[in-house]
Amino acid sequence: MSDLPTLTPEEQQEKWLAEAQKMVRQHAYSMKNASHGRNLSEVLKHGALMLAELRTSNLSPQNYYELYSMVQDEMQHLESYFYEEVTLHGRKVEDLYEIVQHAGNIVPRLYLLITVGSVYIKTKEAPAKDILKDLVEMCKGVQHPTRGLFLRHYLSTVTKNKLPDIGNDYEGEGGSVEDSVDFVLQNFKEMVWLWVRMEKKQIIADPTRRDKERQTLRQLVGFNLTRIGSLEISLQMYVDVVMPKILDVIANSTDVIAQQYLTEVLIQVFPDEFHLAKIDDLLKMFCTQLMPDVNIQEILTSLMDRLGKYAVEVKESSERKKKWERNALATMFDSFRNAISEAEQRPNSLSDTDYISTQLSLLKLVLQAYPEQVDRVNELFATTAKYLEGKELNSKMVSLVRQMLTRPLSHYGSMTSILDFDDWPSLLQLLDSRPRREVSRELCEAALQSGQPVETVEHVSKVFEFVKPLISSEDETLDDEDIEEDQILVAKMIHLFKSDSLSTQFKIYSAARKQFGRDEKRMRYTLFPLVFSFLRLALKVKKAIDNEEEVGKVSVERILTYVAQTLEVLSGQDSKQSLSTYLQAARTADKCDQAESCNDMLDRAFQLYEEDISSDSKVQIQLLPSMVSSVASLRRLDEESLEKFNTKLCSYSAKLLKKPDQARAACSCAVLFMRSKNEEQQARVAECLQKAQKFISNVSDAQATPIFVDILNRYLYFFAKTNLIDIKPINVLWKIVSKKIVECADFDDIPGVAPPDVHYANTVDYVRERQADGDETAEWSQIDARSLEA
Amino acid sequence: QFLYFIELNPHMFSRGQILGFGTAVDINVTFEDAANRKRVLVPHWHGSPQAQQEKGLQTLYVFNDKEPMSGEIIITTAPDEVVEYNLLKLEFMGQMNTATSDLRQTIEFNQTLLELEKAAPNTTNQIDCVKVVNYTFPSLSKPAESYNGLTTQIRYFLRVTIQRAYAPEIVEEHDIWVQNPSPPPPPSKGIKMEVGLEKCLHIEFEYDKKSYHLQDQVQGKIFFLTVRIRIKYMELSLLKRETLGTYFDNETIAKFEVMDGHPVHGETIPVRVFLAPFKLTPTYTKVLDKFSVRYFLNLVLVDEEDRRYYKQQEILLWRKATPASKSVEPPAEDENGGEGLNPVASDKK
Repeated sequence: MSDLPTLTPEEQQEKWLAEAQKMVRQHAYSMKNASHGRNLSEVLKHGALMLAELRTSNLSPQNYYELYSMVQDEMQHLESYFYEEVTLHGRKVEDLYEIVQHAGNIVPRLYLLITVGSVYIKTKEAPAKDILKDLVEMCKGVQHPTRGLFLRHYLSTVTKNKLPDIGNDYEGEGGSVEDSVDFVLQNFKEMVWLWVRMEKKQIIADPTRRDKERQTLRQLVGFNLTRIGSLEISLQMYVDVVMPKILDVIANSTDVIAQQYLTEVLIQVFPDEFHLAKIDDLLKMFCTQLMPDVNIQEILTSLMDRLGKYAVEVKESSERKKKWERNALATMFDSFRNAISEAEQRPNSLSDTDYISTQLSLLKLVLQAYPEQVDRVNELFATTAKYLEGKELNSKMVSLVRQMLTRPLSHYGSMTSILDFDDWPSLLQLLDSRPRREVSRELCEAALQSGQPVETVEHVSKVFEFVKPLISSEDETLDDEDIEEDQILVAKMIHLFKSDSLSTQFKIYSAARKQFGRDEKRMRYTLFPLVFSFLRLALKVKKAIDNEEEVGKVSVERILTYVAQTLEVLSGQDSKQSLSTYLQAARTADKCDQAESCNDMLDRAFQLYEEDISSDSKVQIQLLPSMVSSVASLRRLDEESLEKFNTKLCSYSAKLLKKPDQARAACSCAVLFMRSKNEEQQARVAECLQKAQKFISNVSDAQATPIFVDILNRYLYFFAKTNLIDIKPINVLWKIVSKKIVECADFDDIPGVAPPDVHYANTVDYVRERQADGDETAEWSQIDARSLEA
Repeated sequence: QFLYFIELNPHMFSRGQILGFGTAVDINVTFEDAANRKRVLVPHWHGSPQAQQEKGLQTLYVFNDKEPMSGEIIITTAPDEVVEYNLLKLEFMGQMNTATSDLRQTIEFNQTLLELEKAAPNTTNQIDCVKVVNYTFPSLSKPAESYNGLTTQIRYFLRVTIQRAYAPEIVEEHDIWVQNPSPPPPPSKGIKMEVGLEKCLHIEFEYDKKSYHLQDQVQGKIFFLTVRIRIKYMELSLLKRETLGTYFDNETIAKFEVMDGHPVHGETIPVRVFLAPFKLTPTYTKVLDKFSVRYFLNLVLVDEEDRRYYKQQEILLWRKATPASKSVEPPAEDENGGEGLNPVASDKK
């Protein structure tokens, strides 16, 4: 090969592989030809020559594997040829078994021997166990790691379906399942040994490449465990023989890659109850006998994951498990916990990240196996928090801690169950503000999703502890939008705070009030909803008192006082919202027969109007109608106070900036006087309407017409409901309106509001209907029919 | 009956040659129990005319020591030829031919004469077309086995001589093959031995027996106690040492790879070698006080620099009596050695 210095190593590999494959093809062809002619000596000769290609030391394991697969295919022909020779042509299989051993080179010889051995077992001329034993022993002759591994892999592939097993053909004289286990274990042991030696012997100098190539070979080794796993092994046998031996092999391999992979396979291959049966021994071995660089966390995690799932299966299935198994399931948590703490004691075996991973897995295990055992979950939070105290968390760890925190949420599907974990917040506390906030948000979202109420004061205060990152200003980097999002979420939570007992409910709200009041930036998002909740509560209390039910230590007065105090604080934050809420509070107070309180609330509202929003006419326009309607709806205020507010409202309306606004406001003020007993006051209904008319007398038709239609409708309303309106001004107004509608066809288009001509047409229709019905409540007929013509 | 015999057993006739000056005589020797007798396929003797011409193999009948021998001599003349003779004699010969670089020697250690037919004085007997004569040797001493080695040949043959008055004798030789099975040797302990090079290689090997019969298998184990050299492979070779007086010659009969790759210490490698495919004879000690053939198992370890470490151990080979059976056994000493399996190839890529 020295004459081809230009080839790269890869090209050289390809060339070698191609050459070897060519030879294999040639000899395989000759071998098959000879087998058709039943020329045994030629078959053997070419078979051996073909197999001799596997003696190469040049190929990388990957390429050797390709060559091996090719040869393996051809060997199937050979095997069936041998089988036919024996079964159809009467050749003695024991002779064949000897003849193939005449081959001078060991690699071809052993491949041939295994092939004939397989036929030997199939014909049952000799006990399978003896042949298996002989084969596995003879394979020792190949000590070269790659060649040995493949040879032994061939051995385990060829004998795959021929191992004596319970209930199969080869059991009995051929041997027992124990023999098969011995055989596979022996082969396994040797393969592990060969595999490990690749590392030790440093066949490949570059360690990363070596590790990579060893990884490609690991399936060959793991295949043996799969074989044992597929045998009908009893638990007893597993515990007595199989497990100790496998563990022994793993421990003795003293090789990181091998131990890592093999423990993984061990966990995957055998049934869960097997693992459970000897869980302590298994864990002890993992934690004490593996090499320091083996990633114990991965191993423990996969075992915990498996057993967790198994615990769920057991719970779901109706089958009743044996006592030991139930016990083992019950105590496995302790086993794992002890194992982890043992592993933690060993230097370098568990990094901080790994530790949290194991805790997370343990948490999952507990949730799956014993969801009802809150203490254990809490213990995990506590130990993890303690472990991490004072440690720097990297992003991986943060993500793991987050998973730990949120795992119970998704598992239980509600928040209340988490509230029992006292150490949850202390673990949460370890996170930075941002992830902490995210976890809290998740918690809230999960709670809202489940809709499960939080019913006790203790729980509520815990909730506040758990969502602390959302209600206090821990993170200065949050922008207003973030805060708003958070607070909306928290505000929604208020609806989950429900108790059947009104006094408890009051306590819950009071507790919430305390928490929400802490941060000025946030309070306006949360306190307003809370105030509304208080008001609802007040109504409930009132109702309960009216029904003479026991309400405990809560009274409407207290609630309203509380509301007043809260609104006092809030009015500094958001006067507009506060004003509306004052109005709402006033109405509630009114409903609860708290005239004094109602009066106070209104005073505060009017004060706010005058002081805080006097400069903003737009807001005034928005608020004035609701103030009017609030005042108009009150029933319990004394005449004097009412008059005071009415007068103020009228004056507010007159003070608005624009004439149309004044007109509309005046219009709406009319309603204030509608229910008055006082004639003087009653007269002010018509007065207001006239005032409104006056306000717009000089305004352009485009702006005035809709208002005229409004005023007309107001007239009609009062005409229908009261006797405070004469028919005369209606008819006058009607004429004006019908004229204006006709004259001015071009109106400002206001979205969401019907144009005045439509409004007017509807009004006309209404009146006509009334006239046609002959409605008795008002003298509709007095409306001048002519004015309706237009 | 005679013709029938010919058809059945074409091999029983030696390849007779038409010899002499215009005299065409074909002499064949048959053996009474030929049909059941064991045969071997062996190369022609060195220097024999057949070996030079054909280089092929001959099939010979196998006899044991002391075994009587009987059969027929069949002499056929060419058509219309009559051969006259005075004496027809048959000799059984046992010869040892030795050839070292400076000396060639033939020792006849057995010569047994049988005068089959003798004409009365001054008369001649005649062979017209076919003549069949019976012969019987009661017991013939064949102390040594037939052997065709590098320095020594041990050859047994029947020599038929037709003595004529006025013409040269007609002589023809017919080889037989002698094998002397021996009783099993007393059971021996086997061979166990520790060898090593200080601090770099220390092994212990074990063969199950000291004596093996020719169809036997050598079973053994090699324990690696210390391995500090990088072993590439290990093979077991079978050596034959032929000694003639002070002269000796070594020959490697076979190489058999028993291990591929580098073992670690503590490893045990199994050894199983079937002797049948190899061209072996029993161990001979001081045959006719002259020569010996001894066999050795040579364990060879080859390291990655192709240095060889080896240890020889003599084994005793003996011939096991084969149970008398009608079936003809496959040739025991077959030139091809084994059923087409290639001999060891140690030139690994």
